[in-house]
Amino acid sequence: MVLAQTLKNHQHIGMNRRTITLFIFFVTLMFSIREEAGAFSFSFSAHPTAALKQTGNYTAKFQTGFSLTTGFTAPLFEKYFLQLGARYLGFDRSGGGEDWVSYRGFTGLSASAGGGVLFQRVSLFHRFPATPSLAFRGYGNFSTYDYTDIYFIYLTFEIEPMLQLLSFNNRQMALQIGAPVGWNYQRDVDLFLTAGLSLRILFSLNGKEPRV
Amino acid sequence: MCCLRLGLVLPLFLSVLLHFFSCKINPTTPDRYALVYGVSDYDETISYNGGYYFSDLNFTDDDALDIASRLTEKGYNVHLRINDGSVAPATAPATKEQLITDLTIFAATLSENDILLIYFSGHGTQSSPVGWNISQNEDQFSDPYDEYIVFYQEDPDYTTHTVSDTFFYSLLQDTPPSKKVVIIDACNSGGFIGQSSDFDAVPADYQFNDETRDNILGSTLSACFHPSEADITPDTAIVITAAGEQETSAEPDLSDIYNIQNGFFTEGVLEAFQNGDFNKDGYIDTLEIYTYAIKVLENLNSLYYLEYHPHISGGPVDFILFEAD
Repeated sequence: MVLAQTLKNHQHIGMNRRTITLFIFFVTLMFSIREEAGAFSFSFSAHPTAALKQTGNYTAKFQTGFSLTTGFTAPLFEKYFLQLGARYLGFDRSGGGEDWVSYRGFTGLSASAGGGVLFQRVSLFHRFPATPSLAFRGYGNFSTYDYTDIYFIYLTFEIEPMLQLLSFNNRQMALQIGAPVGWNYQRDVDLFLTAGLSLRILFSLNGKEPRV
Repeated sequence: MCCLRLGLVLPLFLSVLLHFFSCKINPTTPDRYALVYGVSDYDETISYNGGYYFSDLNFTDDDALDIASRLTEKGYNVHLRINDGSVAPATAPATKEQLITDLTIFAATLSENDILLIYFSGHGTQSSPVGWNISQNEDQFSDPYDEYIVFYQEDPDYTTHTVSDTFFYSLLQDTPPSKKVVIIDACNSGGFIGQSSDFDAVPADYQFNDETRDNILGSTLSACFHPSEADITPDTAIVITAAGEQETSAEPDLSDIYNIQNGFFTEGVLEAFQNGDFNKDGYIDTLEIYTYAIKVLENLNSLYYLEYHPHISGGPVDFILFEAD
C-alpha cells in the first residue's frame, strides 16, 4: 500500500512537471508566433514523385506518383517556421520487371506536421532574389490499393530543400520550388524511398510578402 | 544556391535510377506449375453431427477442367485432379492426401523463381455448424471459426477429406516458390485470406452485414500496429476467393440463357484469362483476375438475385501469371 501510494505520488509529481514544461513551451511558442503573426501563409503545391520499393525476395522497382498538398505555415523567431499540411497522393503500379512481380498502385490522404529553417536571401544569376529554406516533415498516410477495398497506413519522413523565387500580386503571393526526398515506413515493405519535385504557390494572409 | 543545385541534379539522378531499375517485364517466362482440383461428387451418406452433409455439385468438375485447359494453353505445367481421378484428363484423385503428396513433391522439386498456382473448386464450409476443430488461429478481422475446403471423400472422418485455412497455410510455407497464388471457388473461401498488416473493408458477408465498413480507419490502424500472422498471409501466397468468410458462392445453371456451365466466380476468372488485361501491358496479373472476376460476377449475380463478393489478399505486390491473349 505504501509503495503504491509513493508510486502514485511520484507519478502525480511527474505529470505536474510534464504539464508545467509543456505549458511553458506552449506559451513561449505562442509568443514567438504572435510576433511573426503578420507572415502567416497558406500554400498549395503539386509534386511529381518517384518511389523506389522493395520487399521480400522481389527486386526493387519504381512507381511514379503525384500528390497535391495544401499547407499552413507559421514563422517562428527570425529564421524558423512550423508547418501543418494535408495532401492527396497517388502512385501507379510498377512494371513487372525481371521477376514478374509488380508493386500495387495506391491512392491516399495524408496529414503532416513539420518545420524548417530559412536561410539568407540570395541573388540568382546576380539578378533574381531568392530565399532558400529547408523543411522537415512527418506524414501519416492513409491509403488504399487501386481496384481493391484494402486499406493500409504508412509513415513518411521527408526533407525538402526549397527556393522561393518570385513574388507577385503586390508581393502577396510567391512561387517556391523544392525537391522533397522521403523515407517511408510501411509495415510489409522493406525499402520505400520517394523523391520528386514540388511547385508551390504561397499566399500571405495579411498582405505582406509570404516568407515560406 | 545549394538548393538550386540539388533541384537541378535530382531529376538527372532520378532518370539514371529509373534506367537501372527498369521495370520492363522479362520476356523469358519463369517455370510455371499449377495444381487444379475440382470436386463435384460428394457422398451424401456421410453426415456430420447429425444430418449436415455435402450434396453433389453441378459444375465444379467443369470448372477444374476449363481452368486446367486454359492454364495449359498459357504454358503452365498442369496437374489436374478431379473427383476420384478415374476420368481423363485427370491423372489422380482430388483428395486431401493427394494435395499433401503434390505439395510434398513440389517442395522438393520447385525453385524459388517458379510460379505455383493452386486452384480449387468444390464445397467450402466453416467449423461452426458442424463442431469441427477450431485452431484459434484466425486473423484479427475474422470470426473465430476455421474455414475448410472439402476434398473427395474417401473416408467418412472429416479430418481425412477437409483442409482448413490454417493447415493450408502450413502446407504452403514448405514450398519454395516465392510467387504462389491460390484461387478458391467455394463457400466461405474468404476465410482463407489472412489480413496481416492491412485491412480488407469488403465485409465477410457482403449482402447482409456491412459492419466492417463502419470503422475502416480504426481497423486499419489496428492492423498496422498489431499485425496478425494467421490464415494464408500475403507474404506466403496471394489468395483470390469467390466469396467472403461468411458467404456462399453460387453455381446456378444458366446454360439455357448464357451457355455458362461454370461457377459464377470461375466464369469470371476464365473470362479474365481472355479479357482481363485492363492496363494493356500484354500480361495478366492477380489483381486483373480479381478485378475482372468481380465485374463478371456482378452481372451474373444481378441475374440470379444474389450478392456475394470476391476477395483478394492484401500486401504490396501482385504476381504476373501469363501473357494476355
